[in-house]
Amino acid sequence: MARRLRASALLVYTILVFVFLFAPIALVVLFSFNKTASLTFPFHGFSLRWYRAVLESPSYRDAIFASLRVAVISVVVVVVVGTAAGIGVTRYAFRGSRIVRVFLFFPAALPGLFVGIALLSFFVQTQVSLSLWTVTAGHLIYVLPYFFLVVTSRLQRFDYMLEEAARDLGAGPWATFRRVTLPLIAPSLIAGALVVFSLSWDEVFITFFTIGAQNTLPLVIYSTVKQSVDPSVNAISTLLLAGSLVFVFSVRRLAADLQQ
Amino acid sequence: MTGDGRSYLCVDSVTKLFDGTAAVQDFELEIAAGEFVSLLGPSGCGKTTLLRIVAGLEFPDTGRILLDGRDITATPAHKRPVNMVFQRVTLFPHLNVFDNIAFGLRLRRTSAAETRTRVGDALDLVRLPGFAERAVRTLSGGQAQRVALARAIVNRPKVLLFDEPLSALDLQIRRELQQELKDIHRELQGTFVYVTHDQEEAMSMSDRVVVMRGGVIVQVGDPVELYRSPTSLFVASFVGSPNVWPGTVAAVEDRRVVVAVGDRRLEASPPTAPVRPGDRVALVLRSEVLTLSDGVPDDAAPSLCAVEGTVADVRFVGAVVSYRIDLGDRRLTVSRSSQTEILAEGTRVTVAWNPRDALLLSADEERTP
Repeated sequence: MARRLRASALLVYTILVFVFLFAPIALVVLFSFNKTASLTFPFHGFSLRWYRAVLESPSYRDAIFASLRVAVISVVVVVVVGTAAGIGVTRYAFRGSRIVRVFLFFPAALPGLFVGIALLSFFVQTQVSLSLWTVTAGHLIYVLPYFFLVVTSRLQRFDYMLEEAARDLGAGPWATFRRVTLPLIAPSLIAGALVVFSLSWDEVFITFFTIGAQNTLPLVIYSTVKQSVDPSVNAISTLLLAGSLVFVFSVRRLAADLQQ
Repeated sequence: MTGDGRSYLCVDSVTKLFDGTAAVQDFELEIAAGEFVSLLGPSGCGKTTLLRIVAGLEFPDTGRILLDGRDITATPAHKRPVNMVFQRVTLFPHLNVFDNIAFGLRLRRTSAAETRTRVGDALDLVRLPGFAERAVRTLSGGQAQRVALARAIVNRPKVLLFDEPLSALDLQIRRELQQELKDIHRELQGTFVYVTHDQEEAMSMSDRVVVMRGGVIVQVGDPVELYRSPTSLFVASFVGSPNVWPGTVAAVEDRRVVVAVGDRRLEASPPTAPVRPGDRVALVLRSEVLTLSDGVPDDAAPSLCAVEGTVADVRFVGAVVSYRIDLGDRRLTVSRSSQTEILAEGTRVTVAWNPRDALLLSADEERTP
């Protein structure tokens, strides 16, 4: 009797935790399809009008493109720089390689707020005008450690004898990289790139301090919510959520492939 | 020692230092076209370093490497007409067997048709026909090394290098592949340089064996020469003589040398380098030159080339029977054909030998490797 009571208490507790975790998310998704502008129950029926509103609004569209631009440039730069750094640090035992490694990881330990303020005062002092480029620079500092972590963990397991075998078979440095190293580390580069993209895509703190005239998507959402109760925020948030889910799923798939 | 045909691959006074220690020192070796040469020695003797220098994966601090009349000392690995089979499996895991073998051909822009033919021929040569589409991870250890061999051979290198390619395999597969490697060598008439620490492997496959120690050559010779007339204690014990007795030269006569081993006085053939009474030496008695006879003659005078003992252990290894004979103060290993009568443990026996077969080596050189 007491055992059954305890079991059902545990069940109720578990359900409550999940409700607490997922109810807000479910509400946002639900009300993004609401027919009317109300943000509270009752629900008035399904419609896609808020999605249309998002896609037709120039400020949202510009913000999506701005966010995409920042994220894509961050990914490209970080993949090149982070891969080179990862190979350098894991393969060559040069003087100070440990210090380089620590400094490459370090920005991940800093609060975003601190990085944002530091960058702002740096840009002000060096008289660099704030723009999406300064945002991109800030994102690079913030995302590089994460990419570096993903790539070095793969490179540490990389069998450099394979590169010797390739050289022995007639492959020069570039051919060795392109035909042996790159195909073998590609899954972790893609996983790292996805992580970087999603970090940059919804970054707020650093962006807030380093942004110029243009806005990124998270900042537009924030200011929209601050100004008025606009249900289109629900729609754009749901879009963000869907995007993130796709990313998380892809990374998990890749991680499974990597373990084979 | 070096004949005229012996300079296809020439290692000319090569020295390689790692952190100030010489891994290979003033190394001189000439290898003829079509020769199968093994570099034999314990781990750390510099044999792998030497192989990697020939491959172009390491560069010597001094000295030169000449191949077919060309100085290739500064040529990087990918431009040398030399291929290697590594100790560990180094097949590319993202490519299947065909693409692994075709790797070198594609870098040389060989036509698709020729690539297909040559990869097929290489697979036939290593006895893996029909394996072209297999994934690398489905191969057994022995199969993987065969594919690695095919991947090297398909490029028709001037010299094929082997860095202990069989050391990770089971004994039976190792023996099988040793035989096949020898057959492949005969078939291709290629120049093979083979690194190993397994003396049996080196002796059974090679035309010539280079015994190395501490980065220098201890002795070079064909397997029979090394086995029958090792010039040093190191070689004698490394190529598998179980019976090595330290002693002192007691008397030097015209055609024989008498050695004091413990209380015994034994006879041996004079070594190439002259010895004087009082010199510290080692008497080497190979297990198969010893003869066993049942029983001990009561009246025999103490012989200079026979000892008495008891059979302590009998080990039947198929074609031969290996006896351990307890002599009281020391032991002897004697092997004889299993066609002969098998002696029981505890039998009193006389072990005799022809003084010609008893080798005498200087024990002093042991201290200066």
